Amino acid sequence: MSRSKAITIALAGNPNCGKTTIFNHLTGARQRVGNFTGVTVTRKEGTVSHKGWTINLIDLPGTYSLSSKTVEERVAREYILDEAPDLVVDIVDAGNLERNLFLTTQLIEMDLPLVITLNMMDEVRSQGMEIDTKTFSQLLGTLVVETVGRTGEGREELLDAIVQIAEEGFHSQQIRVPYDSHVEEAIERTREHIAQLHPGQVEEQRSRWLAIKLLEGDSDVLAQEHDHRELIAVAKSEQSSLEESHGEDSPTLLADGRYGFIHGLVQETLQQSRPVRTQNMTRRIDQLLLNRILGLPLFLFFMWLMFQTTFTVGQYPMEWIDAGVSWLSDAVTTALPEGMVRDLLVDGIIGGVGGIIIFLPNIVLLFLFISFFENTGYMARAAFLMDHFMHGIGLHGKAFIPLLMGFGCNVPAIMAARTIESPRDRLLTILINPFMSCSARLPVYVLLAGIFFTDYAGTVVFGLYLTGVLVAMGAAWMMKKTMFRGLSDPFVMELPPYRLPAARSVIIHMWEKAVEFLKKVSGIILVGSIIIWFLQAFPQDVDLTVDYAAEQNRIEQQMDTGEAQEQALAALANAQAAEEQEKRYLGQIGRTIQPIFEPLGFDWKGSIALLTGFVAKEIVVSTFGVLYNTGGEVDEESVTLREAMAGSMAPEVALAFMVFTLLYMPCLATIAVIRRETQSAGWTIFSIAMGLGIAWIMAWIVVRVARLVI
Amino acid sequence: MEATLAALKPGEQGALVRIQGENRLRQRLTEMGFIKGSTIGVDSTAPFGDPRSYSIRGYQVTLRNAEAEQIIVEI
Ligand SMILES: Nc1nc2c(ncn2[C@@H]2O[C@H](COP(=O)(O)OP(=O)(O)OP(=O)(O)O)[C@@H](O)[C@H]2O)c(=O)[nH]1
Ligand SMILES: [Mg+2]
Repeated sequence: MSRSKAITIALAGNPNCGKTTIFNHLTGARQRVGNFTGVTVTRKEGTVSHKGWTINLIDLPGTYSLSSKTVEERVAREYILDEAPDLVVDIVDAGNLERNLFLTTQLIEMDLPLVITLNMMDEVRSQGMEIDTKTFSQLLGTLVVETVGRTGEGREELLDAIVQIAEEGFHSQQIRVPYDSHVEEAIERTREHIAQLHPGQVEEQRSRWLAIKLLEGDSDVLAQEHDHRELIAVAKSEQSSLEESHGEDSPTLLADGRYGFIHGLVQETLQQSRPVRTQNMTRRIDQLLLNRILGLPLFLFFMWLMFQTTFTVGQYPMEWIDAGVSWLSDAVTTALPEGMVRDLLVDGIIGGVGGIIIFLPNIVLLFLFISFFENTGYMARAAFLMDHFMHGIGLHGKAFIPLLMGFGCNVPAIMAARTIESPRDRLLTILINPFMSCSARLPVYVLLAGIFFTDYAGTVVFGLYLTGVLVAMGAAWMMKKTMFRGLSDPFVMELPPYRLPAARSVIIHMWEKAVEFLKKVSGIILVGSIIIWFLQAFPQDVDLTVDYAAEQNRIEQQMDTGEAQEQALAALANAQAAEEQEKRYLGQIGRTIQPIFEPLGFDWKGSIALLTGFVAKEIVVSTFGVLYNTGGEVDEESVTLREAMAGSMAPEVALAFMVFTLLYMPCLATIAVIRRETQSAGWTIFSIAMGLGIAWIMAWIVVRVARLVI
Repeated sequence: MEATLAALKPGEQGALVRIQGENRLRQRLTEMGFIKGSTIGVDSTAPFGDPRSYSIRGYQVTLRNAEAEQIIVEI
């Protein structure tokens, strides 16, 4: 008899215990890891082959218990309960045994085939501790494997254990978590009732689990059993008599039992094997970073440092790439005969794509910083420091994490809002996320700040990011006051120990961000640039108000050859190019929408750039690249976009333009994710409209105020 | 002597007696190991005095003072 040798396995465990790290090691995937709770918010799948078995692995979001209620925790719960994987690998942070084993007791009660993985063994050992795995395994009735997710230690043993259980045919452990005698009696009575309802169908362990869940008052299980009125009535009365006699609610009573069991287990298996002088690094670092007075200024300083470095250090490689792009542009110009093809290549493709690609170093640097925040453990600290302000706007500190992640990209950041329990707070966090300036907007700032605010560009960029945060907070405050009244969640958030980011994974992460960016550039941005080029090149014949050829003749005849004549000719050619550009399709569109931006001082080119930026914010820069490349056809030397754009706007207009770019509607991908996460077209439209409205108003204010200051 | 967790000063610790207030908070804390008898110590204080971080069962967790007031400890 041939048996299918494929099995499905779920990785479950507390938040931040290293599930994704292990998943990546097992499958070779590169899912996001980070040293804070709630990194993984959807389930991820991968496969690995071992000893002839195909193992489908599911990485789940972390959860403290199977009765937890946030969106991402429900993903884990529902997967385990409803999709019944063949086996659950329960990953336990061994440095935090007691709390992690709480979920384990629940998994044991569910009677699922289980392998327990004691992860973070390196940290346990460095504290001079040792776990007696053999006893541990006997007491829980499961296989137990020690791992170090960081290094991949224990990978083979874990796979062996999985295959061993698969070959033995997935029977489950026979142990029981014992409760207080009153509780046991209540469980037994309820269980008998269940057994009567489904005679012979429900195994003993399964009915015990159902009984416990009913006594706990688990709303999902109650809903699932709602046909059995009598059973529910029995459970309810058992529950209330328990609560009455013990003076505590039933979930607490059950948790007492579980933790009692865990405590005994840990006592027997965890030993201090050698003395170490405990120097708690985390505590010491926190004395500085969470200092009551210095904490916030330090946080702001780190933010400032991030943008300053992104700008200044990124400048050098950026100039090299820029030089390369100019060289390529010149080479193509000389190599090809004059004509449409050359124009398309030089102005459309090299101008558009080259305009944006030079920002690769800045983007990679930005992600380096963000990855540092995410992997050291500072993320949760930032949320802790900012809680006071978040409280002021009716959210809580945890909602700051998705906001901070928005500096990288709004799409995963909006998904990270799943960690927020209250649906209204979650919606609010989603709606304000687009105001957090993502990496795609950075090129616009670097370009314009570099041209118009050369000396303090880094500070201008930092100021823009800060503006984004302030607008997000202001918007949240207004919405909370008007539309979203109600209670916030409790602010219960784990502060993980500080960990050194693994160099390898940081480098891989940056590499991936670079590849992602290059893919975007060679995909949507390339296509966009070509479309823009065509729109600004056609129709070829336009009615001009001046007979430029005649005018040229006139100048050549009337003026003596010399510098004055050359200048006049150049000015004439520029005027012609400008008028032609304005009369072609793109110019027509630009002039149609330009009145909207007139009060902000943007010309039609700026208006067009903002319009195309709806697709993805990088296209703002590409559009400038195409438009300014073709605008100055006078000199044959190609100039960098920076040079071409110098003087094209007043500094206050450039500032207003950056503010508008910062605040107006995010890219299409963000809109799609807002739609998906809110499940509402109405809120999606609201989000777009709010962004546009606020962007316009803020830019209007900026242009007026800045005119007075600059 | 009984006191609320919010009344403890940094560096002090107490043993949990009970958690009052709404279910949501109690349930979340219970599953995270806030059980009768557990030792809870005060660690860091955020700017403006709220929230604070506490250590329990060898890990650290944040709580706002309004929430810590619901937690009664024996000191
Ligand atoms: N020292 C040490 N660190 C580890 C180990 N395994 C994982 N980590 C680190 O622990 C942190 C959390 O890892 P993740 O894999 O993101 O944890 P997770 O369980 O997927 O977290 P969520 O998705 O938030 O539930 C990261 O900073 C990892 O680098 C380990 O064995 N030893
Ligand atoms: Mg994860």
